[in-house]
Amino acid sequence: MKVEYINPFLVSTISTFKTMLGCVLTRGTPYVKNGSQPEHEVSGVIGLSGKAQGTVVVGLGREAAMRVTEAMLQERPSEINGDVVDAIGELANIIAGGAKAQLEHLDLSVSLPSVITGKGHCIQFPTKVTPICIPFDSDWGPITVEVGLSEPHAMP
Amino acid sequence: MLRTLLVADDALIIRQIIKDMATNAGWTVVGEAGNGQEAIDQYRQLRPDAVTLDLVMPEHDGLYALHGIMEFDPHAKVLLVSALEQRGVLKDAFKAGAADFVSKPFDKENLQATLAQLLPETST
Repeated sequence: MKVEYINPFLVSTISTFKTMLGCVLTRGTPYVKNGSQPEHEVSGVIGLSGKAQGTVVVGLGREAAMRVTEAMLQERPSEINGDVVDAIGELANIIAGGAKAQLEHLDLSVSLPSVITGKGHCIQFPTKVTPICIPFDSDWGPITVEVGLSEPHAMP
Repeated sequence: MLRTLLVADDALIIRQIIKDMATNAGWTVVGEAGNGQEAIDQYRQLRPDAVTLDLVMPEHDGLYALHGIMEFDPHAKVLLVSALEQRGVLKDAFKAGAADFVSKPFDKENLQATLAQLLPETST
């Protein structure tokens, strides 16, 4: 995957958390995702298609997911419920939408988000894709964005 | 002074966020719509003072809704609230009569200030 595809997701994630949620993210060092790390409790998953195809995963721990929902709805959920699912789905949607705007040449379409919940789950990518994981730290705990994007003609 | 608002977005949680922000700023949210056709139908029925309109919605999108609303009421105050990814559509939307645009992600103050500018005190 081209490294220049990563920066739009990084910028969009930081901007979304700061602008919409009032949460400052500190970026860690991006790395090539290998195996079953990182693990999440809530993941927002979005498919991208166009001149490149792939998946973006916004992964959060329980507290971060609850705080995102609280910031959006002005009310803290009592558990990982439908509100949390809606909030994380929309969060993933906005992050992907923001990145898409910076990748206009790829003419990307964004799918409806899916949200996966469950302690210790991991999102796996197809073997043809080399996903890159961007870790962030915040007062709400660690947050990760995994991007696995490939151009069809570049695939083996 | 009662200012009424229709909120159109396919994401329930975004409608909730906008409703909260608008209510805190003194607006009365009189209706919600989850797609473009609903937005037109609700506008015709409720005649709100203003509308927030997402551009990307299922079935009939925001641009379709904008055309329908402006055809019904050429003086409608429609605020687009959508992702910057839609910049290609924005030109068409402003040509069709959209009053202003707030990009997602938005912050509360910006949305509230932009909504307030739709209906200046002197014009109501």
